Amino acid sequence: MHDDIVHVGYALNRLDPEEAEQTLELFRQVARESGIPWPEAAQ
Amino acid sequence: VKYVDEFRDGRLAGAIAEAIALAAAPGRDYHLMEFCGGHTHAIHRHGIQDLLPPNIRMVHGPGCPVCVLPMSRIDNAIQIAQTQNVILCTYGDMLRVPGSNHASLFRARAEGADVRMVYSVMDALRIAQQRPEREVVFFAIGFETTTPPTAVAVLQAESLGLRNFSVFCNHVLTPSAIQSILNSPEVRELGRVRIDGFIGPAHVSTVIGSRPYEFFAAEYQRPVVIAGFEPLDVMQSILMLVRQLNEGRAEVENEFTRAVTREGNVKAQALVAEVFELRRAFEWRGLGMVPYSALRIKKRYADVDAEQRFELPSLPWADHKSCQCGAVLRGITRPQECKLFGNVCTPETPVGPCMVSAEGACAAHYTYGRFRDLRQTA
Repeated sequence: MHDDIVHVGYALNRLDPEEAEQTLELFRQVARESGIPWPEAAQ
Repeated sequence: VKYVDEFRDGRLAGAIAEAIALAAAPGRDYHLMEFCGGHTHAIHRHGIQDLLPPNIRMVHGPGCPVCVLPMSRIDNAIQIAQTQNVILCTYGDMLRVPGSNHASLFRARAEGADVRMVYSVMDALRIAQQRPEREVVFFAIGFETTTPPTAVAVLQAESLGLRNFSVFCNHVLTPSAIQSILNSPEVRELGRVRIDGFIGPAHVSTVIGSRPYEFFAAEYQRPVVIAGFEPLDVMQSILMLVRQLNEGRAEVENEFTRAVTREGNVKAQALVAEVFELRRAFEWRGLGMVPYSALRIKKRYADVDAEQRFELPSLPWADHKSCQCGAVLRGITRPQECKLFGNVCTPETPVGPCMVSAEGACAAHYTYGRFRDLRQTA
């Protein structure tokens, strides 16, 4: 199953789940560097 | 919603805010323009300005298609709607945008014109199929995101042999508008508007890619980060811009790698190139005549072009003399500095288009930001 970017009734493009996860991992990295006590950040 | 909720995580926002505060050099100011009204809305809605150090200022840009359409085009749409036998279809916000002499499509409808709100151009096409005895006109507005669907509709109308469907085309282009801002006297000479870098809209780049920004990032030495519309996306793009500025770089970076590539959606680009061509110039509210900043329907599809089908005079236009929408769109004036803001002009009674659309800087500030003003003055 794909997630799409939808605008005025049309899918403009497909969302890449791997890239989405990588971006989230980048945020978690920032959280880890900030020393935020957060379970996912410690993974 | 998957890949929406995760990008709204408040704890992560706090971490990115901390990283921004660490990266922002004390004694240096950062003036960053979010071009797109969707980002303006996100910044206000999620209180992002409050998460930034005081030396980072967000400047709202003109990327709201409802806001930048000049009054003369609204008047033209009203003229079409008032033509006998016409059904005029358009996106909801357009009904409320004021034309000249307090006219609007809403008012034209109250006076008997057949004006219909649609969610997609395909709805308009369907109405044309169902009502062959009527002339159905789609009032098309929007940046590169709404243009491919309009192209599809034009091609579909042709393949279906629909003779009663046409498009009043007002599609505009993001990179040309950013270039116009960078060329404006306020930015280049007067120094009234300082813009150190840009946040580019991700949904536009899902179609056009990131490549179109490379020229002016290099030419004007302003970094661009293409960002999604969730709060963490916006925060991360601010961090990326601050880092670029600190390092003296002016590059195009892509924060929204989950759907944006350098090339974009090539199929959508081909559809647009098949149906549309560049206008030599187009008038933008606030920016004036901007060269090569809009599209028109190619001669090959003239049968579907409402500008060929209807006589549409080029009308002189003037905004309400106290309305500051033009200056707001150029980043010179902040919404709350307009004397009509919040008293005469509200989302219920908009005087200018920036108060109509949810993406308009005035509507966003009225809905969310005015409470921040109250807090600051309390």
